[in-house]
Amino acid sequence: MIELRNLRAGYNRGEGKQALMGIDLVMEREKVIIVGPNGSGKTTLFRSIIGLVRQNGGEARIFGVDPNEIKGELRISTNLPEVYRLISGSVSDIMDMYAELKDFPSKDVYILLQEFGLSDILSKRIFNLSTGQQKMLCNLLAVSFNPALVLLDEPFENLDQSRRSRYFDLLNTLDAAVLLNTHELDIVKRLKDWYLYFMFQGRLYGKFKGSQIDDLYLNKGEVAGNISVWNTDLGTFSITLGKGSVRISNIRNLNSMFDEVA
Amino acid sequence: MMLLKYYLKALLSSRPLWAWGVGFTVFWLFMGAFVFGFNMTTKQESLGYTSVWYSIIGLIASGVIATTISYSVYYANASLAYSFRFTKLRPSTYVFSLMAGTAVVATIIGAILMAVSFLMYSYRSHYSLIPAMPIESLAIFFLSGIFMFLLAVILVVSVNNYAGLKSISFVAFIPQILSYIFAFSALGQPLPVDLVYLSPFSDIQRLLMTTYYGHRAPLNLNGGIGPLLNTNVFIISLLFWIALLFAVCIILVSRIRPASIEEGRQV
Repeated sequence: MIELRNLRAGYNRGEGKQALMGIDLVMEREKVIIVGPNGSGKTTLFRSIIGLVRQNGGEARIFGVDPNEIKGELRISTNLPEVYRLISGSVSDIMDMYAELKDFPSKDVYILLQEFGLSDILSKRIFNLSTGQQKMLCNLLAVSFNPALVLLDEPFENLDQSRRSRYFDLLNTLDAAVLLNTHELDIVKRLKDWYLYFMFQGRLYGKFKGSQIDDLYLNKGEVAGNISVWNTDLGTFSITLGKGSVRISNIRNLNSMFDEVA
Repeated sequence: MMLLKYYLKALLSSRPLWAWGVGFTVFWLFMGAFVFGFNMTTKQESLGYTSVWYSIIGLIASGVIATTISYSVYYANASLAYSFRFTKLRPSTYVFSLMAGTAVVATIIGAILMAVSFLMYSYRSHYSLIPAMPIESLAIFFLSGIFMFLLAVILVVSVNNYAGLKSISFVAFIPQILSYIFAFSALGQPLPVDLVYLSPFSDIQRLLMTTYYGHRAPLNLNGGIGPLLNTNVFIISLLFWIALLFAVCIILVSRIRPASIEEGRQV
């Protein structure tokens, strides 16, 4: 479904620092979670996969086609908010319009909206919604219309506990491949059947199983028996299974995880 | 057709469009009728005076529509790039739908301006200043909506793709600025005849005047000085511009590049 080979991308042309420093990823019909701190390139990776960010090297394929050459591919969807700005209409207009553009009845997304307690936003315009409501609307649009591949950028950010819980359930039962990114480690514990990658400084590390999260340890330097080596600006770190310096699931804040092992 | 419905709804509920496209222009119609020197004595003179104000304000209102379109396309750039790849939407469908929606809205605004012009200037002059060719006049508003849409989209997508969105707030106003320049230049020192024929802005204005007045428009609208101009040439010129811009618009929109709208921030 997704095939990335040494993908480099960023917002600067030429040889400047890239947001993606050579990403390799092959994803079949499976569910994958990418965990990384803020600024690690997760959203850029998603934008790059669907052709919204300039590729500066490497190769990307979705369903075997270069994202920049794709036309009318209805099987892919995302919760990135910028893709739902075609017109400035009410929530119901946006839902109806994207249902028609995706060639699928809109009733599913209306039902989902009701299940998530958001029926009262139908007549509002998107810019009048709270951040959490906007996020939830985009999350629901992404999983509606029978997608085969869903890209979810920080779908749990700004969601209340109840909606988080329901959305976990929805994703776990969704009959589609899902690529999800987050900066919250706790989320992996709720998605243990998913495959797991880590992302730092524009590089992707994996592949692990979500169920391994309690057995993964972070170590400073390249220690013997490691299963993954991470080269970062802060030094070299390695991942071991079963024992090591710091259990990854115990790390309090991904943004400072390397400090915890130093 | 599906996009047309939602776009029409969005346009018709756009407060800036109603405020500037109707409120502001009706204010100037009021100024023309009651504040500036309306000293026409005959019905024919009054009809001519009314048609000049109607044509100037009609052109400016069309320019306001173009500005609204520009911001709409600016905010939608990433959505368009995504939708052409991952939905059924095709560039031609998008252009056709929005072009039709803009033309309909321009016609509605034109009908309002026509009615307001008739009521205000008839009241002021005590003559019944009914437009000579109201249907044809609304058809010119329809064409002006198409022209302004195409011009606005071409300008915004060109800037979006090739120059960066920093200048969006200037580019969005270019059609409006040109509308003002051509509208008021007709009242002062007349432009060369060829330029008046060639300019789509002059075409729209002279055609609006002709359809209200019922006679061919002169080169200088202030006092009707200069030769009377050929209405057919205006129509051909305007249609030529629309055909040309349509072809360019389809090509540009199909190549739209996603850009961050934050790039358009001025400070």
